[in-house]
Amino acid sequence: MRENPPQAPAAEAPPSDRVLLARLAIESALKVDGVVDPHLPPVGGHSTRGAGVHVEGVTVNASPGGIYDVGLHLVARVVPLPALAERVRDRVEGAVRRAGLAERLGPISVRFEDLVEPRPSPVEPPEPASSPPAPFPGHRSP
Amino acid sequence: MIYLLRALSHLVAFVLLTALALAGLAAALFSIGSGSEGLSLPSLANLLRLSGLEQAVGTFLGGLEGGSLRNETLLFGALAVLVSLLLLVGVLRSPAERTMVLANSRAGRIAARRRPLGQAVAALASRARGVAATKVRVKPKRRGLGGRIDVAAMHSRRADPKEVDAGVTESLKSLVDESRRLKVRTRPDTGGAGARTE
Repeated sequence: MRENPPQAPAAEAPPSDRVLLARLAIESALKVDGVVDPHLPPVGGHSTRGAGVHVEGVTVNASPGGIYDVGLHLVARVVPLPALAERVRDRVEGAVRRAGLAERLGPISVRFEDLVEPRPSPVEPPEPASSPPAPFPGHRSP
Repeated sequence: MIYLLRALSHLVAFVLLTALALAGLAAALFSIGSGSEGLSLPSLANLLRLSGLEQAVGTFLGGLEGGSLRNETLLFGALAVLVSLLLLVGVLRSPAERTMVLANSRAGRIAARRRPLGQAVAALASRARGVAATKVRVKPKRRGLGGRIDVAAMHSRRADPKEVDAGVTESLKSLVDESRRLKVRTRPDTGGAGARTE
């Protein structure tokens, strides 16, 4: 997740529920084993802006009834995707409940924007820790 | 809407290119001869009545410069500009990429983009024993859940097709298992006569 601080000092107002939900959702999703990164499209999008912050990889939109629809845009490893999405949802719902925002949480949609190869087995030489997992050859995120 | 514009722009491009090809053919044919008779360019100009057309266009352009044209002309001009812009949109804007929807409920939607899903399937299928190469087509349903993934697994003639099929199916379980709406169809293939596998 990347959060860009505001250019000018932000007002002291606390972040809105929308931004809090976005932060909680993406932070929780990234803790799930199998999720690699939030997806950052080259032309922008897939992000939530508000209260001077920019939370990428998640869109949070207001819905009727005072709830927010959450959309997660993720890069994942090659694992059973429906099961992974369910784990992500469970993790996000748990985090939101603990933060006291459960009544504001609507449907959580998970979209896998990219899939990367699994971690190398212990027999193979490990990749440098700083390099991100390589996408499949020839893939370029549009 | 974007699909309609794309289809329309493709149709217009086809018609215009065909007309251009026919015009080129006619010009080439009428370049064979010389003079003003037979297969000559002046003869082609006479056939097409280009002198009359030149006069008509000249009159129109003169009226346009003088501001004596009627409102209908302005309307048709504006419509032509609008149609041109729509055709440009149809040519330049690609439709949104279809995604494979794996689940959709009140809890939300689970989806995966088509291209990375296909690449992941290809990578997994190629790990199956005896598979030399793979060709994968991911076909999400236009509406609704799921879709189909076709995997053609190329293998050598020595490999048993049934074993290859079973191996590919097994290797894909790690990705698409538990998806009832997702059908994976594997097809062992030696690549036909003369094909080589490495």
